[in-house]
Amino acid sequence: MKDLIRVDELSIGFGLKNWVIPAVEGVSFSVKPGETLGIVGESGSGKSLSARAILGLVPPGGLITSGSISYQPESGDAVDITSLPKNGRAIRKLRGAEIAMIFQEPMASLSPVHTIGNQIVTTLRQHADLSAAAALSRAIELLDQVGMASPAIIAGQYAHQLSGGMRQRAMIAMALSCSPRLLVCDEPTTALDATTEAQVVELLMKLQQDFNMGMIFISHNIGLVSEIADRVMVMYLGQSIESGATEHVLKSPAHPYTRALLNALPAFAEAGAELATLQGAVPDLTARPTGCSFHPRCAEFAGPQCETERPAIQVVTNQHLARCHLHE
Amino acid sequence: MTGYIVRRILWFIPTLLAVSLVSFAIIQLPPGDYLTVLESQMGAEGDYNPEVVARLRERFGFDQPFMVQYGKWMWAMLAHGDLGYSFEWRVPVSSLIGEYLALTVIVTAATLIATWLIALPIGIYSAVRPYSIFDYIATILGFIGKATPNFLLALVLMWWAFDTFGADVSGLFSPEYANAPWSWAKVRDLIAHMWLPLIVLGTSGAASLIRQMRANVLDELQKPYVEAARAQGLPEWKVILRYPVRVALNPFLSTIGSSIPELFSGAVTTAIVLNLPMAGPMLLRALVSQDMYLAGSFIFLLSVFTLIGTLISDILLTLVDPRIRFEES
Repeated sequence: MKDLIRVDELSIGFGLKNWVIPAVEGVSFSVKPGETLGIVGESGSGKSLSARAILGLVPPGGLITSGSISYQPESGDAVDITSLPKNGRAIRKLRGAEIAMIFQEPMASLSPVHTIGNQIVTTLRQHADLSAAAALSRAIELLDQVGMASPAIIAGQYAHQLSGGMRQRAMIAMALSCSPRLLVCDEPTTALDATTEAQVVELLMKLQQDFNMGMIFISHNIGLVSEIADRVMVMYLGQSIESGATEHVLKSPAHPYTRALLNALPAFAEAGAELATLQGAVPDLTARPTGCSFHPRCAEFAGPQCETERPAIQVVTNQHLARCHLHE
Repeated sequence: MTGYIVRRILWFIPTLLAVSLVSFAIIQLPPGDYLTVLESQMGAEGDYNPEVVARLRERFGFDQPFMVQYGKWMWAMLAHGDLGYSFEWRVPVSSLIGEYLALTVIVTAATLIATWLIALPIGIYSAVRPYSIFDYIATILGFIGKATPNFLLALVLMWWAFDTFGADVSGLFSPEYANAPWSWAKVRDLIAHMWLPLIVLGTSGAASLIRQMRANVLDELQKPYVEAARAQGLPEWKVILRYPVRVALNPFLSTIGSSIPELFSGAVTTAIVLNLPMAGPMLLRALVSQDMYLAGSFIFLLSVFTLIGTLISDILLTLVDPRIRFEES
C-alpha cells in the first residue's frame, strides 16, 4: 500500500535568513491509510511543529529549511506540501478536506462567538457545494456520529456552554466533516480528565477504522500513545531519536531516552518501588548541547563521542531505528 | 431579554432624577444668579432699576429655597413638557434647543460612523501586516492626528479652504439657509458644509480607534481558534474577518454609550472655532450667563442620551457576543 503522507528529512527553523535556530532537524516519517503513527516528546521537542507543517501551518517566523512532505491524493501524482504557496488555494483545498487537524485546547480552538453548528457548516460549505440547510443536517449527523446525546441542540450551542469532553467531540466532528484521509491529532486529550480522555481516544480509534483514515497522534504521554499507535516516533530537541513498530519500541527500547520515559511510567514500575525520574530538564533550543543532544541527561553514557559527535540514525532491527552511539 | 430591557428603562427614572438634582444643584453653586448678571449689565448701561430686578426675582422664584425651585422645574417638565424659560434668549427652552440638539446628533453620529468606516479597516490591515510600511504610515498619521488639537486643525483647514477656494467654510449652513425652514436644498447645503467638522472631529477619534483596533486584532490573531479556522481550509480573508475581527469589534460596541457625552462636550472648542450651531457652545454660554433652565435642560437631555446609549451598547453586546447574557433573576 502506498504511503498517504511521507515526510523526508524535514527541517524547520526560526529566525532570520542568516541566523536560524533549528526547531526540527531532519525528521522523516510516513503514514499509510488506516495506520496510526504516534509522535511522543516533551514540550519543545518539535512534535507539534512537524505535524503543523503537514497542513502548511508553520507559524510566522518559522520556515522550512530543507526536506519534503509529500502527500498522495486519491488519484494523481503526489504533491510536495512544502512547495505550495502559504495559505494558497492548493493547500487550502487539502486543509480540512483531505487532511484535518484536532487541536490541544478545544475551548480556545473553537470560535467563542459562533455556534458549533455554524462552525461545522462553514467547513462543510468551504469544501462541498451544499445548501445551508443540507450542511446543517449533515452537521447534526456528524455530531450524532461523535456520540453527542442531543446533536440538534448542541449544534445551536456555543463552545462555552459545553463540557471539555463535548467540546473535543465537537472539534472531532468538525475535523471529520469532509471525510479527511489523514487526521492529525495534536495532544487532543491533554486538556481533558482521565475518564474523558479514555472516551475520546476510544472514539478516535473507532472513527479511524470506520473511515480507514491515516492518523498522526501527538502526545507527551508515551503510555497513551502505546495504546493506539501502530508505530511510534520519539522526538527530542527537534530530532527523531527512535522510531519503530509500537511493540518493538515498547518491549525493547533502543534509545536511553525512550528507556527513561518508559521507566517513569507507573505501569512499568515495580509495585512499592520508587518511581524513576528523568534527571535534568529539556535544554533551550538556543543552547543545544554538543554531540548527542541528550548526553547531559543520559544515564547510559557510551563514550567520549557522545559529547563531541552527533549520532547518526542506526538500524537496530528491521524498521526499528535509533539515533544513538550505543548502536554503532 | 424584554424583561431585562423594561427593568433597565425603569431604572432610568431614579437615575435621571438623581442626575437632574445634581446638575440643578451644580448650576446654582456659583454665587449669584441670572439676575446678578442682568444687574451688572444694566449697571453698565446706566439704567439700573432695583425695582424691576426685585420684581423679576419674585416672578422667576429666585427668592425661593433650592428644593422648591427644583420641584417646580421638574413638575413643569413632567406634567407639561415645559423645560423652563431661557432668560438670555427670552424664549421657552423647549423651542430653543430642539434644532441645536438635532444638529448635534446629526454631526456627531455622522462623525462616529465616518470614523468607524475609516479607522476599522486601517486598524485591521495594520494588525494583519504589522510592522509593514503601511502599518508605520498609519501609525505615524495616527499619532499626528491624535496629538493635533482639534481647534488648531479646524483653523488650519479653514485657512486652507479660504486660501484655495476663497470660501468661508465655517458654520453648518450658507447664510441664505441658516434661518430658512427645512427643505431639500437646506439638507444638501448641510451635507456640503459637513465635511470640515467631520474631518476635524473625526481625526483624533479615528487615530485612537486605529490603535485600539490594531491592538485588539493583533491579540485575537494569536488565539488558537484562528489557526483552527486556517486548518479548516478557509481563505485567509475569511479567517480574519469571520473570527478575530468579529471578536475584536465587541469592545467597541461597549463604548458607544460612553462616547456620546464625550462627543457632545469634546466638540465644544471645535464648534466655537467653526461657528457650528451645536449644543456644546450653547451649553457653555448658558453656564457662563447662569441661564439655569437652559443649562439644566441640556445636561438633563445629555444624561438621557447617555443612558439610552449605554442601554443600546448593552443590547448590541448581548446580540453579538453569546458569552454575555442577561441575568435571569
